[in-house]
Amino acid sequence: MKRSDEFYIGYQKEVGPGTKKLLKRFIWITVLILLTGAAVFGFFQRPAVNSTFDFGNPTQVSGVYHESPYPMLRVPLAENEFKEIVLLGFGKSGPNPFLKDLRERKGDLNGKQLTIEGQLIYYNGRTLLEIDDSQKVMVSGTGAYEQPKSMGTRTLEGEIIDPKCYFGVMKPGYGKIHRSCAALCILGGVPPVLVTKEENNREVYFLLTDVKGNPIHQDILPYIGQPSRLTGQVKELGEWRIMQIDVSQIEKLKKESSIY
Amino acid sequence: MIAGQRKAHKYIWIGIAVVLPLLMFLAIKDLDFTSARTSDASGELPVSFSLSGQSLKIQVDTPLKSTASLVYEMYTDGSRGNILGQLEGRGSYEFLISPGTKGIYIMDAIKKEELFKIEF
Amino acid sequence: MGLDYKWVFWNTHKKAYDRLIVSGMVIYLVLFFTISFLTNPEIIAETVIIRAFGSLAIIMLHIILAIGPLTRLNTKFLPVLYNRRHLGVSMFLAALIHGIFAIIHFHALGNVNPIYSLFTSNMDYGSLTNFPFQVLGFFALLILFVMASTSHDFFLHNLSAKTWKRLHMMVYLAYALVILHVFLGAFQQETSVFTTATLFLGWLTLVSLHLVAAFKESKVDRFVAEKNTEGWHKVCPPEEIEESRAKIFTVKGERVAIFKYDGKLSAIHNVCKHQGGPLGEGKIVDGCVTCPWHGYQYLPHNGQSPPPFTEKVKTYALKIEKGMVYINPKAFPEGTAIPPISSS
Repeated sequence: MKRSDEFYIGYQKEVGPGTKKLLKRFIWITVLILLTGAAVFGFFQRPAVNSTFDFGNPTQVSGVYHESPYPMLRVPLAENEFKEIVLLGFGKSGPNPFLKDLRERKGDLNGKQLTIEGQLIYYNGRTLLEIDDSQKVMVSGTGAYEQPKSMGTRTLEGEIIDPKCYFGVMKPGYGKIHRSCAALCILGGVPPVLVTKEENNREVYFLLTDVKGNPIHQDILPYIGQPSRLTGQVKELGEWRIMQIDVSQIEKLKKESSIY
Repeated sequence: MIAGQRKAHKYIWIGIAVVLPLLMFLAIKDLDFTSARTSDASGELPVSFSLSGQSLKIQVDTPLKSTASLVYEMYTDGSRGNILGQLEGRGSYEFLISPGTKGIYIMDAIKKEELFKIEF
Repeated sequence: MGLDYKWVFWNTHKKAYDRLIVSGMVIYLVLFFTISFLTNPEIIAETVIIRAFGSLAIIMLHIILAIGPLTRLNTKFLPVLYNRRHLGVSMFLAALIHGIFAIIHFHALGNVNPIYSLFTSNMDYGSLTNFPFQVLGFFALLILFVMASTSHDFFLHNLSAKTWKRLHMMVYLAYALVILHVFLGAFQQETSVFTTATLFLGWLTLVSLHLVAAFKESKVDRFVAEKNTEGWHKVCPPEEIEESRAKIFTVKGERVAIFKYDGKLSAIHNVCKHQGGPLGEGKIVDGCVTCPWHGYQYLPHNGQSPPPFTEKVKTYALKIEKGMVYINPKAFPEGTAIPPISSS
């Protein structure tokens, strides 16, 4: 068993020339692996969408509150121009905990004119508002709001997401990696939304309710974050659509999501 | 290391050599490695337009970073005129413009900010 | 070990080693952040942090796992092994940052406990591709935590080298869990031939290194010696052993190191009491057998560490018969003095 007589002892200073040479080579190869690794893992990430969360930059928004069936604000932009803003709460929660005080004092809030200071979330023509403090919601009168218009029954393929993350808070805010977060958000009161893609790459968004039009949260959790096929009555409400579905009829599709 | 540990190492790595690639393969076999990536990275303008007579067609290619996008006519003196309507996301929109309109403004109506100014 | 425990007995090599670890990690993170924000301007910082530290930890884990077999194949790699545990702890810290950020990002601020959420927010335990991959990462991190927190020599001695090594061999399970965590998580959504191929290549490299080293070692373990009439095992002519070095000889599946020094021969058990290093690949330095892994020392004639240290290994009797070294396969209790025999 022939071997060179170099012998490395960690606590002694001397290192043999052969060992030194090999170590140098090892270090350079390791650096090369690190650089290549950073390049590969850094470069091959899917481009994030230009969704926005105005974190730390609140805006005051006024409009007519309505639950159709999720809490929304019909915000007048100009004469005959409105925006239907979906309301959300802080963290992974819906707006209801932040509207509780107001409901106790003022009763039913439907048709009430509210002014809310919150953080806006927006992407691709849809806007949502995060309320992080019940003190920042004020009632200032009453107003009119529209009822959703029926568009018939449709069957659609897409992915169920939580709109808070999808429209701005997280990137990516969909898919498998984000799935547990979406489940927590929807469990916490954020409305579930179906994202579908039409042939021309246009996304259409459906707020999901049960067949009777009531909010659904817990029951839809097993279907979140994966491609599914849904059938139900579709209604139109401003720029949003509403789909009334029977959760037990949701069909999971064994394929990659088309919204990626 | 004692002989037992050496043996354990050998069997563990034979296990990793056999089982792991099988699981790796099953995990990725249905994935689509060719899918095109859609990027929101845009050129100068996320919208394109075409004008024929009084009909203005606006194509939103990349979602606008806007809470609510209102389209205004631009008068000859550069001031903001009539509201043509809203842009709600990717897609194409058609508006009828008044004669003599010089261009359009796209405004964020909630934040009250100008997003784009397009002169024909 | 007869000395007090300290956090780290710093020396020049350890300092240089740690400087290299920190520089390597910083270079990786800076490059990853730069590439991410340049090529993906809309990405958010939390996502980049999670991805940067996760991918860094995986690359470090590959390097760590390659060191062992590399030293088996070429002893000049031993300086890299010398302070491997600092590399391991650094890798754990990178993985911990990845884990904490991911748990906060995806599981905090909900109406259930984040750890409870980690296990219950995706219940597709029966599916492979929909499997809750975060659970795999969580268990891998837990293993790395146990390893990092017991990495100090204090635990090594109090748990015994055997138990400690067994505990630390769980890193292989952690490696498998991490690979599945990535294949069933990130790769399901961030599908790319290049990242997938990178980890596959990593697997191929590690498996090849470990198996080549393992088969080389098991050849030694399978060795069956010729015996003389009294049951002593025939080793080799004394000239075959280099001065100040040893020949490793397998007796009933256990390795013995037969050292030649100052014209004498002595045999001790091959396994260092510290971390199980191969004493027979060591050298006689200042009259002591010196372990190639961390420099632990033993006197060749009695297998005892020189004072103030207290480690002891088993010793064996040798004799020379017709120009051939023979060894008695029956070991003496640890630290038993056996007079060395003359090598001529």
